[in-house]
Amino acid sequence: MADLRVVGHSHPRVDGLDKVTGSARFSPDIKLPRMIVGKILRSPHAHAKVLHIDTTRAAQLPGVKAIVTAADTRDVKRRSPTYQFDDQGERAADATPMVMDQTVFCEGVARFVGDEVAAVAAIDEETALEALSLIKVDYDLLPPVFDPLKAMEPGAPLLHEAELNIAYKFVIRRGDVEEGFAQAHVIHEETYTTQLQHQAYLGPTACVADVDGAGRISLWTELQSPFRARRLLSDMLGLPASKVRIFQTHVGGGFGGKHFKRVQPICALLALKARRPVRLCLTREEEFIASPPRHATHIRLKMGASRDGALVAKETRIVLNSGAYGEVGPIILDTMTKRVDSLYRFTNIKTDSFLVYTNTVPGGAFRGFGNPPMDFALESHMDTLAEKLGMDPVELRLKNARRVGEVSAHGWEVKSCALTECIEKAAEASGWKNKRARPTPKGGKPRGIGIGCMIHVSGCRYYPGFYGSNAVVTIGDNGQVYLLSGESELGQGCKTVMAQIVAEELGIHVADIVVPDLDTDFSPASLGAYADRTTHIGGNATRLAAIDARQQLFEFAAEMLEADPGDLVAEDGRIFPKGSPQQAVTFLEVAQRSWFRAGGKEIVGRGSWDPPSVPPDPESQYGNVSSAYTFGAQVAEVEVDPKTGKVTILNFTAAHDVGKAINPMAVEGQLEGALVQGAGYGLMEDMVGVDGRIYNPSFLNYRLPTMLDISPMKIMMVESNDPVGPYGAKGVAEPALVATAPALANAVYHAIGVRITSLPVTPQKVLAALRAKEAKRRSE
Amino acid sequence: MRRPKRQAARRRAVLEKIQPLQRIKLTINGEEVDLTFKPARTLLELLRDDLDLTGTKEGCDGGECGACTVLIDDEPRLACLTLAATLRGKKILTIEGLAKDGRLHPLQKAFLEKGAVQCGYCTPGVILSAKALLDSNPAPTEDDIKKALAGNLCRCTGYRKIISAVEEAAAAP
Repeated sequence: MADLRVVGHSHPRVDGLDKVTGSARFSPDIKLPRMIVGKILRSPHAHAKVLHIDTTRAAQLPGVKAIVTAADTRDVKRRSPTYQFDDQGERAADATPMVMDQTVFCEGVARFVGDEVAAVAAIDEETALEALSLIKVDYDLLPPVFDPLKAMEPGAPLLHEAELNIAYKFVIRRGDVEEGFAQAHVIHEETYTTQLQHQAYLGPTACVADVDGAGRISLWTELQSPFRARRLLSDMLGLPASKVRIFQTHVGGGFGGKHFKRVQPICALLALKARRPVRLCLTREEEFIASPPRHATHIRLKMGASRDGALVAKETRIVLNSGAYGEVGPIILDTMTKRVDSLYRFTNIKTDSFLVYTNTVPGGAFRGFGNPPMDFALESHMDTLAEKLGMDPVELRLKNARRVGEVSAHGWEVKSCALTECIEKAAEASGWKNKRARPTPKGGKPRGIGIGCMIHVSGCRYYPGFYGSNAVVTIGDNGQVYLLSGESELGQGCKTVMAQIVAEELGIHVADIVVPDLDTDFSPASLGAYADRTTHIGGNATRLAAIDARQQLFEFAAEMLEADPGDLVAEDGRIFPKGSPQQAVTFLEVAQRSWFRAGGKEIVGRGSWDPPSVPPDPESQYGNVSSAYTFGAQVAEVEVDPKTGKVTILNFTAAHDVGKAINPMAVEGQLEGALVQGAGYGLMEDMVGVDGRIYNPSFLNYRLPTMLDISPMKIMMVESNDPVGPYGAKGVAEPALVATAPALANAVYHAIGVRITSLPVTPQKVLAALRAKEAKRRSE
Repeated sequence: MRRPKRQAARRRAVLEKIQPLQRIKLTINGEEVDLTFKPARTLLELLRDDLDLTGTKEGCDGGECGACTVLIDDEPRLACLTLAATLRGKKILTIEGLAKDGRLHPLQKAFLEKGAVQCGYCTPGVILSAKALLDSNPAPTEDDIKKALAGNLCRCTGYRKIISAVEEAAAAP
């Protein structure tokens, strides 16, 4: 891709001015005339029958305008948001293997501490809170179950109407595992566990809902997938989709945690009942106890390698703690079950994985989507295998690394892959060889260096219907260009990337392009921000829309220049025949001519792009699910204090195959941000749950990395120029978090010789492991 | 389940029944204002709800995240923990008052150009903490910056670009 003018160059955010001046409005900032305040009543019990809800006294409190409970939603059932149509034109329910078991309020049974029971809207917050305390709920306590390993056994208390608490299950068999283990020179088996991690976006989730005279409801809220939310809301409210409109405000961070939640339908119900605008904003405590965090997991992994380091067999048993509801759990389980198998050249695979209900907060999507816990297990395992083989961990990974042109055991066709290059670059730049041999300077605390590798997707298809993106580019009367994309800006910078693509194709500047906020009435429908699909898929759609607009523009320019439209080029605000820039007409002249011509119609460029990926076969689970796979390698150097167990990160070196960096500064920002989130996952963050209660639902007690916790980072973007992605681009936001925790755990092992198999690697665990090691040494 | 907020709200309702409204004069973003409000009103509520200055963000309402940082007489303070009634005669600066005559403050410019903003929710608070730092220490080291901004959580950027932006602004003429 020669001579790119805008794409591939760092550009400040198009919404940056709005954000640095304080004028950017997020959902909690929206205020409408006559607006009242909503609040949610939540179950204080982990498992209880809801016998009766008495709202009489609350309704009598002056200032209370609406109270809603499950009784207001009885007829409403949820359906999968990604339905497709069958041959008869009927909606097929299970297009995506989701478990749509979460109704607007819990119905009849509360299944976790925080489960939504009722909601009120009142003239102010104090009155709303007072009203909540006046609602009397009769509960009949049921035996709860918190441990997923116990919950999945027969006889455990059941959360839903089923014989077992197993919400979903995968059974995967590839090659011959027994034969593989028989050939193995070394075999290692270990159990790994990972914790609940909260997205902890700084901006709380809020929704403002307003109903107009015709019964049409508008919502101002923060969503990663507004069009799916419109579909779900229309189902849950029993309204046609045409009666639901969603305005996307600025989004105060998402990371997977701002897909559709109960906030939106509850706020809508309150507004419909009160016939006044209602704002419902979650408190930070509510975010922690009732917003879906990254699931806790339990992984049993056994792997074998031949004498030369080839991975000959992998056997895995995964238990994913779904919490009280299933929702997207099955596809997160799918990710855990299959994704890492394509990182290395595995052929013999046996995996049984289970999504298990317990009476804890339901888990959900979070950057990496099931990949981080499994990658932690796999990459920890790789280091142990390397040690058993007497090999360097880098060497073992290079030996097995996925290569371009290969098809993995699950049918993934790897069209671009710079994994080997990433490993080599990360090792080289981190000084791996020297530090591996002599990690600790004389007299210093023990130091170690560790590596982690990863694979991810750029969009992941689960169904054959439209999995693409739509974009529209229009050109106004004064040459101003509007870009409407159906993809969601969460802060990751997609508006800027899309504007760069349009600027590139139209030969104009990013500043000439207006990127309005998403509005489901006007923006072209797309799927939204998840599975790292926005730049790769949305970028392709945007590029096609810009090219379409350019072709229409060239028709007019050709008339003006008396040239063939096919010979024209657009550059720096001018359009001219290729090789004759002196003959140029300006973009503005052409735009005005197109706008003001007799009988004219507006230039509207349309772009639609559906990736050439294949959903997994329902039986064999085989299929090329993504149109581009991303790879990366991260090296962490740490220092461990043997007296306190504290792990200090000295530096990170991260090399990621990004395909093509459309906005290098933004890509770097994604990688840096993800490294710090990954370090939080690896060392600090843990939602402490006892008996189904989260005991640290605040930033004071749930510790996020602060500026004092960060270390120097060396970021390397490796461009493999994917043949399918726009200008070669692949997803970048999620991958960078995936390999961080295992790189840290491996570095800790290298420093002090103890392997921590449960995340996060806290000082307590390190100390306990050191003491156990010392006790063992003494007894020998 | 913990209900500190609800208890606080009840205490507050009682307090407001027995105490009269407060009336004070203070300066917000260079403009003197004369305000009357309920005694338990926090500065954050005053700014966001009464004056519609929503550039000051609420991230936790408990003094834990730094998103509501404003400058009170040039010192960085958390608006969610500050009772408005204590601010008689004080000078408040919020993010809305930082650009002068449409010209960005060097910090705003640097945050934009260095990519120190992603979702932008923590940005107003971070920029104001950084302004207080640069006003008292025009050439801060990386450690100075880290200490001054340690109370401002950011979940998007990984902080590196914020540090570069503050350094850039410090170096600006």
